[in-house]
Amino acid sequence: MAEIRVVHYLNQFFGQIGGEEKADITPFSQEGPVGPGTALQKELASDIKIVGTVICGDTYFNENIEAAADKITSLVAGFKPDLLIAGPAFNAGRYGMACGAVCKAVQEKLNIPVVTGMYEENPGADMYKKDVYIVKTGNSAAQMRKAIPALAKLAMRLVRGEALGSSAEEGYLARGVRKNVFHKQRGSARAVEMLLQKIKGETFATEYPMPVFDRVSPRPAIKDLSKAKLALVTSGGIVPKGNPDHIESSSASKFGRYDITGVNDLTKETYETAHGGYDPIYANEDADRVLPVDVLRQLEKEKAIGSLHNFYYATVGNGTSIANAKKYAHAIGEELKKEKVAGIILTST
Amino acid sequence: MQLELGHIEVKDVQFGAKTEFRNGTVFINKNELLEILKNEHFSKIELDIVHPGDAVRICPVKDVLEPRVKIAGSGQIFPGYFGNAEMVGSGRTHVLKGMTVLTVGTIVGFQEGIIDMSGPGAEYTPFSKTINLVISADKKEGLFQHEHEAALRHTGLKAARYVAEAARNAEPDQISTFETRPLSEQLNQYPDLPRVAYVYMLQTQGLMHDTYLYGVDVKSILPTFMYPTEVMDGAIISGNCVSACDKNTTYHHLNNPVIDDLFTRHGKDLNFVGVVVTNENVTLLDKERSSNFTAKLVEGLKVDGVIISEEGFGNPDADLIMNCKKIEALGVKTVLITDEYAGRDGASQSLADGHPLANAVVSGGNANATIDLPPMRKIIGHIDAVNIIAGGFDGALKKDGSITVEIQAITGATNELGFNQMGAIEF
Amino acid sequence: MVSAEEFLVISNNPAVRGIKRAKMYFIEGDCLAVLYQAFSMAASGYKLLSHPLAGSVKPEYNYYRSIVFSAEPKDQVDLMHLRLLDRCLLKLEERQNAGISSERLALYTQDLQIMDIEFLNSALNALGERIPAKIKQHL
Repeated sequence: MAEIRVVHYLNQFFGQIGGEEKADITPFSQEGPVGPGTALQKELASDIKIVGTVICGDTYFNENIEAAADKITSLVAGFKPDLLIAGPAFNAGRYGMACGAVCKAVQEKLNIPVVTGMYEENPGADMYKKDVYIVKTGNSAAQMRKAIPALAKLAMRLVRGEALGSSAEEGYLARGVRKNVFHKQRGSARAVEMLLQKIKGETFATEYPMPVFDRVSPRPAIKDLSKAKLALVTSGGIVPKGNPDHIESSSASKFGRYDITGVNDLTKETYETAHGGYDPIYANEDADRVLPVDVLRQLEKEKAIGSLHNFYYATVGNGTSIANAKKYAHAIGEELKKEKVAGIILTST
Repeated sequence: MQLELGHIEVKDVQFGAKTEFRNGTVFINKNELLEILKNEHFSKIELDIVHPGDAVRICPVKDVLEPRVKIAGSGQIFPGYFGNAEMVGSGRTHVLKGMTVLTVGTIVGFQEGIIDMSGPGAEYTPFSKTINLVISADKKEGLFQHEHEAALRHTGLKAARYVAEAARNAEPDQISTFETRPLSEQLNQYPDLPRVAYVYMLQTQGLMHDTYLYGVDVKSILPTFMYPTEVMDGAIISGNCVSACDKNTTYHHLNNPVIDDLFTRHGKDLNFVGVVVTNENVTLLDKERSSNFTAKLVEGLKVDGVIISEEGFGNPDADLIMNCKKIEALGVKTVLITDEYAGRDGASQSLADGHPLANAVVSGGNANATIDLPPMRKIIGHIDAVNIIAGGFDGALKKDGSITVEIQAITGATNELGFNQMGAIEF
Repeated sequence: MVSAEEFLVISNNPAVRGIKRAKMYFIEGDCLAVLYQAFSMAASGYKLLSHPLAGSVKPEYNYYRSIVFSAEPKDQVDLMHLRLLDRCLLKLEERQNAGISSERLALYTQDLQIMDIEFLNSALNALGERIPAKIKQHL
């Protein structure tokens, strides 16, 4: 029986190189399984071998996506694999983005089956679920013991070319593709059954999950700007020089609140960008380009607006999950409400 | 209201000297029927009989009907159509089970409705499993679209009535009894069972998109209550010619599966109290008005849940969601039956409207999925129509007679009454 | 009676041009062009009165489209209608490449125009007085 060769992709942490301080390591490979790869190997059939592992730092990957993906793809190719497994990344945003991107690149360039595993709110899931198979996992590495067998199972089906069932049956994140199937019962009978379950308060499974049209109703316009206190909020990552709160360059886990009392202009000595998703040159030269403090101070002087609130809020919108974005927005919104801010100018990139 | 439905199993249909039912076969006097159907609007009418398994393709199908005849009880099948005003749904009705009457003919330009009696396409329509009397009618030059549609509709109704007479004195192989009592009695008959009603949405937008209730155009009515058995006697007739896959043919109305499956469990684990029929009009005002009225009627029925079936695509999705929202707001649970238009790759948004309260949906499948249909030895109708047919596209009809179409071109393929086993799920 | 002053019809259907029952704004272009115009109008405050996807003829096959608005814009923009138009546009744009060629469509121009007039009539009849649907034209 010909051996099926598998390559495993891991980040710096699971690759046993180090923690956050090693997140900038460049991609490299080594023979055989590493870290969780050993557990993964145990779950794979005897003719399936993890012949190599490719490791890359999450920060390095997210700040050099194309170059990193290319390098990793050639490292993977070096093992002449039949299958690539990445992660699982659980809810780690940057790791999830990396796993998704690596899978997609390898799938396209090497034309082999690929699979990874993530928590459904991982921004990498949102980004890549339509391109690659992502096994549903729990939201932290504490669920590793459940995730590994699930990942192995789907990996084996994929590499053996078996036709996959629906996302619900197979445990992967729904890819948003509707396919026709013949059920055992006719639609009306299924409807009656579903109705009785719903009436009794039992769990039922809808055959078509309604898309979430996440609508935010606009507020009424501010009648008189010259009397209004406005605040600046940005997801463009503008932070005081040195990034004192260490806001991550992608999949930010926090937002910052910064005092701009007496600040009329952002300069390259005093401010910078933390955002890893765009070329930072112009923002670092003059952060007003992303966070227009200078213009608003000018308008304040001219009395076109009432005043500019003396604190601004910043986070990095690169690879932020919807859940986190909502969380930060609520928190920031509450604070600004207390400060009687009438309107917010939100900048993004 | 109580109806006994007697099924007479049809094993074969043949042309013969006399129209009658004998030893499991329906014999039809061809000349007599042609004489009855003769019409100033048609230049030519032809009759064919096709059987399941025949290498025959029928296209474009306009309507499918089932021969039924009233033996006892007030009114006649297809009430309001032939000059009578009595209510139906009680007494006894005989059904010639296993056969249909089909009307075929181009009406307005592009057409719709393929029925393949064999091959892969046969899987997608219920009418490949019935013996079909096919009536092909060609219109005379200069006939207006309204008159043409009406003429073809009347032809189908007349033919179904004529053939059904053969069942009048036949002995049914199976008799089922269905009963719905007046509301307060019905509510009290099974006081401990969950109470359920059926909201029956009908297509009503204009030419080729109309439905008739007791002969009245449903676009001009306000939603109303019906006993389920009235539907079994043909109170609802289709004038809907567009969107082969999800329009309800008259056959579908007569054999409404929601009503059938609700009755199957009636008295056992649910109490089926009745039907609310409503329309799908063009203006937003009408949609709001009809859904408000429907919700009001549902509230009056004091039910715990309703099944809502839609007919058609696109703007009826708005009616479906309005009905769902407003009924859920009353605390009444809803299950919706619809089909999907998710693109050939299945990746597009399936419906033109949506709402988080519509959390229980049964799907009739993605109408955009494509299918390759092999050439057939015989074509009844006009095969050129396929290229313009909804679901057909340029080059769909190949030189060798094979066709690649979206299944939306196949009659009944994604029926939204839940008639079929086919559905769609998430991959 | 339906007053011509109350309603505005936007349409790319040449057969609707002479309409007397409403004010009329003709649009050169396909069904999508009409929908874009409808979206702009709804965003400017005109009240949408008929559903933009009339009929069950799939949008990519139905070249002609007439949509009824209030004759004058209102103060408030109806956000629900704007969203409705947004979703209809989404469906139309998705299906843009799935349709049939203009040569074939040309064979059925008259029929497609008549279908559109039918829906328009249904709408205007409903908005004004109820008139038996069998009576043709009255545009």
